[in-house]
Amino acid sequence: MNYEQILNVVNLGVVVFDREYKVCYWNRWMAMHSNIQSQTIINRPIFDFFPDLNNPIFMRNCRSVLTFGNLIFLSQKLHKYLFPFKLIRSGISPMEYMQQSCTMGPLRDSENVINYVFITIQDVTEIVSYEQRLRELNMTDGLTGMYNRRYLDIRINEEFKRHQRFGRPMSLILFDIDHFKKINDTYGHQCGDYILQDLSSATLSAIRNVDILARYGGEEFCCLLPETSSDKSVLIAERLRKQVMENSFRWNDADVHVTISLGVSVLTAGIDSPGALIERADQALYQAKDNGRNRVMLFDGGSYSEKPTLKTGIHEPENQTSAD
Amino acid sequence: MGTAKNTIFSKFEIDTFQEIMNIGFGQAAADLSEIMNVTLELGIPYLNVVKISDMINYIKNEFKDFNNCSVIEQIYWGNSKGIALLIFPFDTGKGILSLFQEDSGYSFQSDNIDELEKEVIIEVGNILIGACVGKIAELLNDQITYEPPRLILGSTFHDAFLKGLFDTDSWAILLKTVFQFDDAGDDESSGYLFLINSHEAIAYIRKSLQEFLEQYQ
Repeated sequence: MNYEQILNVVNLGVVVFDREYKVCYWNRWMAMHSNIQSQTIINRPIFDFFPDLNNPIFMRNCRSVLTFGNLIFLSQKLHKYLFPFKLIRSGISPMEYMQQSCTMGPLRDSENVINYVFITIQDVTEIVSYEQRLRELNMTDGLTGMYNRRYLDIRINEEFKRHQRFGRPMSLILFDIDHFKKINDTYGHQCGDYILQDLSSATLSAIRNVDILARYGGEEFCCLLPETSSDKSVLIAERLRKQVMENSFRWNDADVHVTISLGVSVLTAGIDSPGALIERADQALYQAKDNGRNRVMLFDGGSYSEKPTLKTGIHEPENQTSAD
Repeated sequence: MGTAKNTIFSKFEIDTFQEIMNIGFGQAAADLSEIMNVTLELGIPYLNVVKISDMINYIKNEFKDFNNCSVIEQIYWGNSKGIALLIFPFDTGKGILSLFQEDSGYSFQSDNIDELEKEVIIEVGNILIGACVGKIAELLNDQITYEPPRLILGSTFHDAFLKGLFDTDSWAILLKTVFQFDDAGDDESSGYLFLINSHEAIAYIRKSLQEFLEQYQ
């Protein structure tokens, strides 16, 4: 029985090379995906065809296999791929190259000496695409495309830990649409959805790449600002306010004027949990509402024991809440 | 526990096994230093025999803050089948990572940095385990295959540990060594390696110890 038949029909790449990196075996799967026929590559150094493999990680792994006889598992998460194979079928993935999960291991000669390395290559592109899609769905809000509450909670916790460890500044903006119920009642819920979507695009363009803007619930949004002091966070909040106020929201030939109220909180020594930071921003947001809406309020109070200090942002409020 | 050790192995066998581990880990450390381009020291190995049911607590008691440790677990198969556990105290993984990031070409700039760091630690741990297990297997004239390693947090170790691989009533041979990457300095990159062999492997190990001794007689 010639068991090599199996190696030529399995849906898996199989390569064997010797201590001089000369290819000894190249199965049909490898030939199909590389467009390099077995007779072309056999007895030639693998680096002649795949020069990028000649890197410190690959060389370290080969030496490890040849010395210890162990297996090396090359995860897709870390390496993406070992052999750059262009995807044959387009459309299944936004990725240019086949994503691979590879295993390297030893092969012994007739005298039981490890003189060869084998590599198996598994195409995991489809799984990775689904994973990526699932990850996106898991962290984004279906209506607005913004990050969702779940992702925001994770990131706030992470940033809070980073702050505790390295003492870097961190701020948070909580905002909601002024008189949103009235917009829904006047123009209908479809208009409300449209406003949420359009507001999402408008506000996303006003923040930095490092900021995390998420739909917090209903018409309420939260923007996490890592490495940001109170002055800068108020500036960003003000930019968001202006961006929304000046944005043209049109629904069935009608101009819908939309404004937002914003509460800003900054992580200070007295705040001992992410929840407390959100709570302060919420207090500032309520203050912004109480003070007439369409404005930024900053909470910069000190400890729990002190009465919170709320002060207005850096602008004069503008009376644009025409949905009233 | 000392009693169990002396019941299952004779004093002579224990000394031989420790000697094999000394040789094996010495060779592994030298080869690893060359392959990974960092200086690695493996401490004098210590052998013990514990009941499988007591093993988790035994390992946990070795650490001050086990819940915050990272554990790389890898099953290996062969006549001396078992489980390798590479245990890093909190934050040590970062020290090890820094040794391999510079000249390895790994660079992390994405959001899932923690996940990628874990992958590097698993990959480095895999080589470390492979080197130590491989060298001992070679001296015991055994051929080993490995399952992919996985990373477990100390806090979830009790639930995640593969107890099912062993019969909880039987005994396990537990080999412990301390490793230290010298280049990182201090305790930034030290940890423990445990190799746990099941009761089933004892007969094979005893036979191999005998064969090892015969080479010198």
